[in-house]
Parts: sequence; C-alpha cells; structure tokens
Amino acid sequence: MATLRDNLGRAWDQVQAGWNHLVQKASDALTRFTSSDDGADEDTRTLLRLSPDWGLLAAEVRETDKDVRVRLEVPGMQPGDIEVQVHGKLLSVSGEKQVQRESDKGHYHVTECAYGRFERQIALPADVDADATDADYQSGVLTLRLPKASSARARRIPINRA
Amino acid sequence: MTLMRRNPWTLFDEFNRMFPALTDDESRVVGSHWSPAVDIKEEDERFVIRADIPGVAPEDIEISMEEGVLTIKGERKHESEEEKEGYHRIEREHGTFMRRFTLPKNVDAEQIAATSKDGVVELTLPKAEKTAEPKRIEVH
Repeated sequence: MATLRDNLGRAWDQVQAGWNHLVQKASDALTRFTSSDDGADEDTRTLLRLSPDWGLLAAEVRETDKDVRVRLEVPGMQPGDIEVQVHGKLLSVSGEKQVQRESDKGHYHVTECAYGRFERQIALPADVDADATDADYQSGVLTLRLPKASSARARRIPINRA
Repeated sequence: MTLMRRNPWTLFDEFNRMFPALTDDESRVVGSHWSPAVDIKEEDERFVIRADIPGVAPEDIEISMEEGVLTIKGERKHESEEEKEGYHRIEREHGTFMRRFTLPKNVDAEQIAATSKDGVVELTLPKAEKTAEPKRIEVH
C-alpha cells in the first residue's frame, strides 16, 4: 500500500513537473488562430469549424554580435500573407493561414492543423535596425535577420598599456 | 557555455509508460522526438492526408506503406552546425519524427502520391476499384 502511495505520489510529481515544463515551453508558442469564413465554400467552412483555434508556432531567437536571428515555423503560408513588424524590442509576426483549395467534397476524420488569422509577438534581446531586416520564407519556416542598432552592438574596447 | 536542453516530453513518456491505458493514440510513436499535426479527409475517390512538417527538406521525409500501415517519418536537422551559442529562445523541436496510420483495406497502396510545399506535405491515397461482389453460393 505504501509502495502504491509512493508511486502515485511520484507519478503526480512528474505530471506536475511535466506540466510546468510544458507551460513554460509552449505558452508563448501557442498562438490563437481566428477564422472568418465569409464567402468560403462549404468544404472550407467545415474544416475551419473543426480545426483547432490554437496552433503551435515554434520560434527560435538567437543573438550574434551583429544581429538577432529569428526562425518561426509557419507552414502552409503564401509569403505575401505574412506581415512582420518591429516596435522597439518587440517583434510581431502576423498573417493568415488559408485552407488550400484543391480537393473535392468529403468529410474529415482528423483535424489537428490550425487555420485562420494569427499574430505572434516575440521579445527581442536587443534594439534592432528594423529597416534593414532581411526576411526569407522556405519550407514553412520564416527566417528573419535583424541587424542590431549601432547602440546595441558589442564594441571591443582596446586596453591601452600604461 | 553550451546550451543544455531539457525535453519536457520525456516526463510525459514516463507517465505514458506507467499508465499506458490513458494514452492510446498509437499514431504518435514514443521514441521519436516530435510528431507533426495532420488533417485526414475522406473523399469519394480518395483519402487526403495533410501534415504540417515545417523546416524539413522533402528528401529527409520518408513515407512507406507496409501491411496496411502508412508511416511518415523523418528528421528535422539543425539548419547549421556552427550555431551553438547565443540562443535566447528555443521552442522548435529537432530530431526524428514519426506518425503511423492504419489504412482502410480499400486504399490502393501502389497509387499513393505525396507532394511537399511550404512545409506542408500532402498525401493522396486513392481508393482501389470496388472489390468484386461477394460470390453468392446457392444452396440446392
């Protein structure tokens, strides 16, 4: 009995720890998708109704001496449907993931992918020169290179011999 | 400083091992690092499976069919080996992924086709011609 209680206690601790990790890891990446189904055909409306309202847009932020590099997983987008804005040290990526229209009527067995409008905000570790941002979209991954503002760049300070 | 990465999912894997009955979605195979989200649609003539697999080159995705089980697996590699330092945020999963689906008997395994665009892989699985009507044997 004591063993069972120990095991359950340990399992619960693990669930709690796992949950905390999950929240820590995913709460930022979990992004709300809102869909407007105006004018869409019946099949698209069905998918929009069934698809989850939340999607994981996983990001990666890396700082180098010269720039801040951000990668964001946003599969199935048209590059023109992605909007990138920088407000101070806050990066905002918004857009709309649209249902691809190539298939016939049918019914869905599984719907896990999110569709619709989304906006994800990511804190940048340094001030950047937003006008010089370089953006690239390949295999569903948005890659941004944001050069650091001159004030934020690390400067090597020479030490003079006395 | 090297960046240490903890994988929160291992805790869930442990939990799954302790209480296997609670988590019976076998399409997400324990042992792979992550599994892609999918939509599965059935049409009159075919099934369509769409999977979000961003950041994986088509040549790193392997789709196979064996004994009625369709397997999508592959690996998301790091974009560059030198990039080890300077990370402020890592949410992306790297490493192997896998998902398996048991297909209905009427799928024509020979005709399965897959295309990949902007991180979305689309598989079309045509249904086979209707099998012959069961033969009725008269009893005299």
